[in-house]
Formats: sequence, structure tokens, C-alpha cells
Amino acid sequence: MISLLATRLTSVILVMLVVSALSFSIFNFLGDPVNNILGVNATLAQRDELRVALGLDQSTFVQFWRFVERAVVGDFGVSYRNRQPVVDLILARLPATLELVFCATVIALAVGIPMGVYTALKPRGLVSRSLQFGSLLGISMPQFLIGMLLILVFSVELRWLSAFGRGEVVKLGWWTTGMLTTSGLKALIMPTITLAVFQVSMIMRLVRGEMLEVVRTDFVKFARARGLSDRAVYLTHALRNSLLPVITITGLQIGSLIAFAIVVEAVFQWPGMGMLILQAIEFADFPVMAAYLAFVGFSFVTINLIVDLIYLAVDPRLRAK
Amino acid sequence: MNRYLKLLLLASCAGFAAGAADAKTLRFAESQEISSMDPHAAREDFTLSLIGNVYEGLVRWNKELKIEPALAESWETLSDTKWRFHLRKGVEFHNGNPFTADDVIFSFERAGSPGSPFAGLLEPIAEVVKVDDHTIDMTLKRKYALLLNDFAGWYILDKEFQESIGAQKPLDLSTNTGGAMITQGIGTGPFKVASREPDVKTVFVANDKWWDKREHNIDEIVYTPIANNATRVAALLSGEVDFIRNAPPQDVARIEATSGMQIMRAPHLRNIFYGMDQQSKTLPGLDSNPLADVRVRKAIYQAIDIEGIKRSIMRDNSRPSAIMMAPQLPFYDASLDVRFPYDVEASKALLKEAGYADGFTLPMDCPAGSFINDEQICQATVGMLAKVGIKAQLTMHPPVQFDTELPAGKYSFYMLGWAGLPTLDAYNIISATFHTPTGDLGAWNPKGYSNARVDELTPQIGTEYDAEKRQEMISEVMKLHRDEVGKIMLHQQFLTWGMSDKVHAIVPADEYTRFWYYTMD
Amino acid sequence: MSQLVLRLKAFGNSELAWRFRNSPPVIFAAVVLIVLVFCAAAANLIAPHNPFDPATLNIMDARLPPAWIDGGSSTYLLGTDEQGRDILSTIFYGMRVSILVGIAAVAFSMTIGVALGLIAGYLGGWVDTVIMRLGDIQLSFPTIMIAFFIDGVAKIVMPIGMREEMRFYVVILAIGVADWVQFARTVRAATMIERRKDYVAAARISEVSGVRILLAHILPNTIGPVLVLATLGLGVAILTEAILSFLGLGMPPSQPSLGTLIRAGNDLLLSGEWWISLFPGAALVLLVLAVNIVGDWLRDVLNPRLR
Repeated sequence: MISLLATRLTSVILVMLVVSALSFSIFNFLGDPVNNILGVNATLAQRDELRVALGLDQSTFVQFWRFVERAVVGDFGVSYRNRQPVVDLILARLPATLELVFCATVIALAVGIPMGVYTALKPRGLVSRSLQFGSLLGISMPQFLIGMLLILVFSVELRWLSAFGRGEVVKLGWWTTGMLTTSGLKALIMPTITLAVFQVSMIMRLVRGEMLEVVRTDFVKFARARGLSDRAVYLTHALRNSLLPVITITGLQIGSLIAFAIVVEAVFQWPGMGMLILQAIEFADFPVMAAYLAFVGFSFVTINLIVDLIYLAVDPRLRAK
Repeated sequence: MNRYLKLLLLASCAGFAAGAADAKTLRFAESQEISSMDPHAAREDFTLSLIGNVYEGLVRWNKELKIEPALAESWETLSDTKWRFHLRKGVEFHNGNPFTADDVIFSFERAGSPGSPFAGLLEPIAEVVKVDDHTIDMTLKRKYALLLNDFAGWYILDKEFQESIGAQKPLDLSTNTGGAMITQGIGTGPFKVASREPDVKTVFVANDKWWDKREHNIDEIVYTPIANNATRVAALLSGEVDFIRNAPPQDVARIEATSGMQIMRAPHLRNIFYGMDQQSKTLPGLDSNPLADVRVRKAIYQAIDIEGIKRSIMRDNSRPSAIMMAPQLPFYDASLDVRFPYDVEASKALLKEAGYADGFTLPMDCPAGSFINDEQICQATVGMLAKVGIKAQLTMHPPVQFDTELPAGKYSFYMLGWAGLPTLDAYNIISATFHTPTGDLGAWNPKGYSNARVDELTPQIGTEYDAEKRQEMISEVMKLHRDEVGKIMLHQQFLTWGMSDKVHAIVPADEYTRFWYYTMD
Repeated sequence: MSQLVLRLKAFGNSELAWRFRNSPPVIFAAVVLIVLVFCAAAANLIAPHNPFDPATLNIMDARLPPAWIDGGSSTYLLGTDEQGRDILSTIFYGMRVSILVGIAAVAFSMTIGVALGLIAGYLGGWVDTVIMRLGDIQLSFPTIMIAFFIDGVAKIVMPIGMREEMRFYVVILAIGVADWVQFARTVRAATMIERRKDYVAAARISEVSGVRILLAHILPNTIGPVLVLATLGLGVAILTEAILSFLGLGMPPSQPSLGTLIRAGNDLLLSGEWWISLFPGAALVLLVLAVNIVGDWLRDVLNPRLR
């Protein structure tokens, strides 16, 4: 347990260092942020002056070292675009993305698991087959297309839902939530669906596969032999045993959900981390890019760690090793 | 939880009902975000346009884009290099502080301080001296004809307020001083900053104590940045916003056909053109530089079916142009604005004459998203050039990279647009894009057009006070540049602003949103 | 020749073929897939126009609706885009790019993954640990992030004129790099099982080289699961390329994939010129769906535990 934590922590630090070093080496080739700050009419002397002030005249290595030095004490600099401290900026955007990812995950589980169980129990039924086909369709459509079609139907044609933003949000300390207002909840609908479609399909397929496999194992056969009803066997034994991989995958998928949120946020102008990084790239906003990548790397490795710990807690066989 | 929710709902409904009765709220969306509330922190037109409703300069542009008095009531020249400004009396900042000469001097020092993006704009001024509370004298380093033009974009701040929030200097990104102005600002303008959440929403409310006569009837402006074109148009069509600046040309027809919606059109100052490397001995991949030959430049010009681009890509929202000056600018000379005709045969003949009968390979670089339909125009150009044997190899670049590599002289044939903002004068265009690149002049003409006569006239255009002489010089430069095909001109973009038909806006050629002229039904 | 016939017959009698004949939806998907791949592969032969020969384009034919709608022309069955390119032809060519990108990306990740998996599983020890650790780290970065990185690095190393031409390889790398871990894990597991078997021990004793054992004996035993992963990976890769295109990181407009076409058409979705984005979009979904149905079926059939 402790050695697991230790190796993971080392890899967290390693990952973050590698990521920020890489990002620093590519920054200078993305474009010059000075242009965006000073405008097209600035003189050459002014440009050079600002470049020196921002440390952009230094070598990549020096810039990287400065970044690490300050990052250690939690100072990630000031965004060139928003002109706010990067840490504040990330904290301000984080709730929007996490709320979106949370809702998508809940929907994926709430819809995906029952669908998976059903298709595993009645694999030959018409409903099952349609669900199976639907799930294949779900993993065959790019999110941005789903998002645009939703906007077209529900915003432009029917005028039911908002095409952009989070609606009214309520502040709870530094956290902002859209889940306490009607407009906030309504604003969540389309982005959540867009993000969840892929996950629903995936979880459904996963649960179905696991169920089919578990059903063939000996202990289920024994349970049946003991005279338990099919229903009891499936729902208590089979489902419980097939949930373990579901936990793992759901945990791991949170990482890629945050990544796919970039696309969804771009379509719905959702003011989260994804919008933040896209805008940062557009503006050559290096401090935000470096901090974002380090932050994402950190959270992904942490999520992996948590998943492993849950695994350890749920499956006693692993603890023995 | 449930009760809380209900209360909240009730409260928001009540607020909505009360507000809807008489208040006029203009909900506005654009692709960009305001960079900050600090008017001296970025020289970027969109931000200056929007916060120009909060802050004012000594002078301002009116509906017809003519200079008119704002915080200065009148002015006179004491000598060629000494100006006296009489400041408006009885003007109050949004916090109730009176506007005085000290605020002007403070704003001069602030915006002109080293490292400020406005240092260049205020560079011609040697010093500002207070004569009395409402009079100042300005001494210039040299004769400069465009002082007032520049002043329209230099906004005046309240000294006392700036000191109270610790923002005596413009936002400095390296030390993060002056960060307080990200979400707040105090000016003298027709609208006040009510609240701001960066990247989400900025709310302005009308200033009841504005010094000028109130023509507008807008009580509140809610600005939301929406980056994705389709989403922004969808927001307008679904009635979630009342006004979008820059409706994409392809959506104009749809917006016009929607009941309750309208498009307001006006020509923009920006001319789109192809710039060319005319100085290098060779182009990448070639053992010569065909673009150095005026016949080749003219051949490319005549190979471009500009009417086809106008019809198919711009959907008639453009005006093919021959000189790099919009008719809306002073000193525009319509007699010069005559294009070489689109003529494939003539183009082929010119290429043959120049020794390129079989054409050549031309690297071509375009920004993706800087100008209206830039990508499509460049693609169409590739097709048109292919018909005269020129194989253009198009590379699209993200704007931030494009704007870095272009002035560095990394491109041979590139698309660019120039409007002459914020000076609104030919001098800005000529000095930035016609002059041989030397020092600060010709910064956006890398390795490009070079003509000794143009270089000689450029500084004179900047300093000449006499209108007739300026006209003569500007026309001469424009004609030279056109005849020698210094750039391959394409067209002047049109502004197509989409809005609810309840909104009555004005659409000025400089694209600024001057909300004090707007009314709503 | 007769050998081939015999083999074909043997395949025809195999369980795989039997199962195939008994799943009508899969047959249908396979037929669709074959037709699409054929259209893409033979684009330059069967497409009614060559939309990427700029000299043949006529901008006056831009934005024509499909032939069956008023104003449409029978020359352009599915209409034209803003450049006057025939949509049907751009779809054929775009599909070719999409499929090529997908196959190349999968081949790339498969090669790396299989090689590393074989090495890790066969050698074990610290080599195994390093490779698998690397895989964990890699997995914590989603494809989109990796694509941003590779795109940035590519800009460093490539001169401006090459950027557009090299995009194809950059996109392949960006998509391919992200996916090797799955292959490595699968192959490693299979290798570890095979390694313990008697024939490997026998081969070792007879001083057959490790490489030979890996390639001749162990590799063939991992083909089944690898094939399944590859098929399903193909669908994901094609889709990923489309998403990257949407974010401006995919194929350039000069050699558009289906994703590039959809992105360009995306701006026209509200304008009433729906055919410019809808047809490429439908083609993409159809293609990926067909790949996934076949892949799904392969997985069910080749996964012995599910029989």
C-alpha cells in the first residue's frame, strides 16, 4: 500500500515535470503572445521590452526552470489573455467542467448499467438488439456533431434550451454551481447528453460483456444449483462481480471525459477548463497552458491512484498479493 | 433543499418580472472576450470598442466617423508643436469624482509609461502641463497631424480611484500589479461597469449622470463571449441574445429570413489583400523570385476572379477594391479605385512575357480565422491560380502563429487585411504596409513593396497639417502602389451585424459599438 | 491454385464463416464497409469529379444543392460546397484520407504495442516494469492532449512549407501514439502464458534465438485478440481524427478527411446549405458504424471465453 503510494507519487512528479518541460519546449513555436497584448501598431522596441519583462527572451531551459521554481510555491504566473493569476483562473473554471463531467458520469452509470444488464439477460430480444445497435451508433458519432444537431433542434427550432453558457450560477464559497437554478439545470441538459452519449454506450457494452462472462463462471453455476432464482443470481451475484471493472473503467474514463469536455465546451461555450485551454492556445497564453497541462497530468494520475485504492478495498484477493 | 429551490425560483421570477416592465436590456454576443477593464492595458480594437462606452477620451468619433469634442470642449494650436485643450466642466466620473486636468495628466503618465501598450501612441507628446483645473497645454516633440485621431483611442481615468485600488500603472503581466482592473473600472462614459465574470458575462448599466444628452434608451447591456460561430448565430436565432456583431456571411440570409430578426450592413474599413516577398533573390523551391517582377504580380492579380469570390464566398458582402483605402476614410480618391480586370488570357500573356509561361510553384500562407472567410478565399485563389499554371501550395496557420511569422518575414505570399485602425487615416496604412521595412516603419510589409518616392512621402503625410497637400501626397502614394501592384488587392469586407429588429443600431465602418447611439423598442 | 481453393474451402467450412453466414446484420455491415472502402480506394477512378485538381474548379458552381432539389444540377449529385467542389467526390476522397489515417494510426500503435508487449512479456523483470509503467503514464493522458503536444512539436521541427504536407504523418502519430498501451497489455498477457508452455522451453533448449521464438511461435498465438483490438481501434481512430479536425488539429483543407469536411460544413449548418456538412457527416457515421459492427462481431466470435 505504502509502496504503491510512493511509486505513484514519483510518477506524478515525473509526469508533471516531463509535461511542463515538453510544453515549454513547444511554446515558442506556437506564436508570440506579445502581438496579442500590444496590438498590430506596437513598435519593435515596445515588443522587445515586453518580451524581456515577461522573460520570453530567455532560453527555453531558463523559462522552464523559472516556471518550476515558482510552481513549487504555488505561483503559476499571470494569464496573458485574462490577466488574472493562473491559479485563480483554473479554480474559477474547474467547477464548470467538473459539474459537466459529474453529470455525464452519473447519466452514463444510471442509464448504461441497466441497459447492460438487460441486454445481457435477454440477448436475443428485439429491445436488446436495438439497444446494442444504439450503443454502436453512440460510439460511432463525433461529439461535436451530436452537439450541433442538438442545438439545431432544441435551441434554434424549438427554442427550449439555451445554446450557450451555464445559465444562472450560485456561488458556494469559491465553487460555482448551476445545479441550484432552473436556468442552470436547463443549461446542463444538452452539454451533458452530448458528453454522456459515448459513455453510456461504453458502460452498457462493458456491463453486458462482464455479465455474460461472470454468468459462465462456476460460482454462478453453483448458485443456480443451490436453487436460487435466475433473477437473484443475476442481480446479486453476477452484477456485483461485474461492477469491479465498471468502477475501474468509469474512473479511468473521467480523465478522457475531461479531455472530451474540450470539444463539448467549445460547442456550447461552456466556461470550463476546456474553453480555457482552447483560448489559451489561440492566444499563446503560455502560463495557462503550462499550468493546465501540469494540473491535468496531476489529476489523471491521482484518479488512477484512487481507482487502484478502491480496487484494493473492493477485491480482497489483491490485498493478499 | 426543495424549499430553497422554490424560493430561489420565485426570487428570480420576481426580479425578471420587475425588470421586464420597462428596463431595456441589450444582450450582446461576440466571438472575442474583453481583455480587461483597464483601457491602457491592451491596444486591441474589440476591447477598446466595448469599453469605449465606459471611458472617454478628450475627443471621440461621432456617427459619421468625424472627430468631435468629448472630454475636451475645444482646443487650439498655440504653435506647430504646442496645443491647448479646454476641458469640459461639470463632468463627473461614475464614482462622483469631478473630472479635472489632474486626471488628464495622470492618464497621460499612466498610458505613456514605459511598458504600456499606449506608450507608442502618446510618444509624439513631450509634456502635458496644467494651466488651470480645466485647461492643459501639450508640447509635441515634432509636428504631428494625427494627434486628435490618436486621442480618440486614449481614454481618461480618475486619478483618485486608480490610486485607491492601487492601479496607478497599466496591468503589468510580469508582476501582476494593477490586477484590480480586471473586473472593475470607473470612467465618465455613458455606461458604467456593473459586474464582470471574465469569459462568462459582463454587465454594463446606463450612467444617469452622463454629461452628454442621452440619445439612447438602453438601461443595461449584457455582454457574453461566444466563440463558436454556429453557436453564436444559434443564440441569436433562438432569441437568447439580441445582437451579434459579425454575423458570418453564410448565415446572413437565414437571419434575415427569421421573423423578428434583421441584418444591418455597412462597409468595413478593412481591405483584404495578398502581400508578397518582392525583395528576396529566390523564393523557397525556386531559383528566382517571380514576385519581384511587376508583370508576374499583375498576372496573379488578373487571374483572380474577384467577382466570383464576392458572389460565392462573401455572398455579396464585399466590395472589390483597387487601393488600400476604404471610401469611408478621409482623403479617399475614388478616381484611383479602379481594378485591373479579371482576365485569364491577359494573365497568361503577362506570365509568358515575364518568362514564366509554364507557371511556377508558389508557397502561400493564410490565417485561419483572422478575416471573414479567409480560408475559403485562399482555397479559391489556389484554384484560380492553377488555371494560369501557378501551383500555389497553401498552408493555413492559427492567427497567433501567423501574426508572429508574417512580420518576421517567413512568408512569400500571404493574405492580410488592414483597416487603418485606430488612427482612421491613410498614414497608418502607408506607414505600416507600404513603407520599405526600416525600424518601426513598414512593420507589416516584410521583404515587400519598396519605392523610394513612397518612402519619401510617408513622413510628410504624417506631419502635414494642410489638407490639400495631404490629399495630393496620399493620392500619389496610392496610385504608385496600385500601378506597381505593391499588393494584390482583393476586397473591402462588409460588416453584417445580426440583431433583433427591436434594436436600432448604427454600424460604423470602424466596427466600434457606440451604444450611446442605440435605441430599443 | 488448388491449394488456395482448398484453403478457401476450409475457411468456408470454418466456424468463423459459419457464424458470419448466420448474422445478417453483420453481413450487411460488412457489405456496406466493403462498398465504402471500395469507393474510397477507387476514388480517383469512380468519383465523378476530381475536387482536388484546383484547375477544374469553377467557383460559379459553388453551393449548388443536391440534384433532386430545385436549383441542383445532375452533374453534382449531392450538390457542391463553397469552392464549387462536388460533395460526392469530396466524400470519396475524404473517406480515403480518413481510412488511410485510421489504418496507418492503428498499424502504428499496433506495431509499437505488439513489439513492446512481446518484449515485456518475454523478458519480464525490470524491462516489463518500465514498459508497463510507461503505459500507465501514457494512459493518463487522453488522445486530445497528446495530439496538442505532437502538433506543437511538429511545428518546431518542420519548415513552414512542409507543415501542410506533413500533417498526414503528424495526425497519424498523434492518434497512433495514444493507443499502443492496449495492444501491449494484451500481447504481454498472452506472451506470459505462452512462455510457460513446453514448446517454448523446448525451443529455448535447442538454442533457437529469442527473437525467433517470439516471432515464429508466440506472435501467431496473439493474433486473434490483436485483430479484434485493431478493428475496434480503427473506428476510434477515424472518429478521433474527426474530433481533432474540429479542434483544428486534423487534416488540412488541401487534403481533407471526412472530419475536415464536416468542420468546414459546420459553419454552414444554420445557413440552409445542410448538404455541405450533413452528407460527409452521414458518411463518417456510416463508415465508423460499419467498422464497429464488424469489430464487435469479431470480438464476440474470437473471444473464446464468451462461447
